[in-house]
Amino acid sequence: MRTALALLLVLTAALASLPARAADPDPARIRMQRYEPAKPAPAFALPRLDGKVVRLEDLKGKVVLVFFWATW
Amino acid sequence: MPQFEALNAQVLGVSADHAATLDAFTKQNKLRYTLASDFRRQMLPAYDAMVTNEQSPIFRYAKRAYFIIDGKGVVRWIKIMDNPLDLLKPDDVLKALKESGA
Repeated sequence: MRTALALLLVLTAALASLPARAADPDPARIRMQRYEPAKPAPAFALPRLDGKVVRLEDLKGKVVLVFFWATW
Repeated sequence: MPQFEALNAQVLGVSADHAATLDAFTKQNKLRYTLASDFRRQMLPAYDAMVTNEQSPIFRYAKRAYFIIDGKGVVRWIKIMDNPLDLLKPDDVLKALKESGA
């Protein structure tokens, strides 16, 4: 019981310390930006879900949209 | 998504989740684009798209970020989000893709 209570207190404190969600930013700011001066993209080789490896060099000749995401 | 497919651009989603997690996510959501796992956190720092947060149980995870690389391997357009809840409008991304030669 004590442990549960302590855990609850810790959780409450942790939640209270989270910053409030930022106000919605100006939508005009959320746009793709030209990258200048343009630089070669760092090479990468990552496993795909089917076990094959996706390499930037194999995609030469194609425009590639890379997006990073996560389960935040 | 059909508009992206029509451009013949390669769409690649990268996250620091394990490949098995991504596999389940793809099946659940019936995704049609390629997902790849940077579980070892090799690509994220190279693209300046990694958050290192000692207070987070995940510790090192991806920022929401978009990069458009042209056919010669040159980065043409970027957007790295401060807030992962923000999303780009698909039209904006399509326009940048077209201008990059897609």
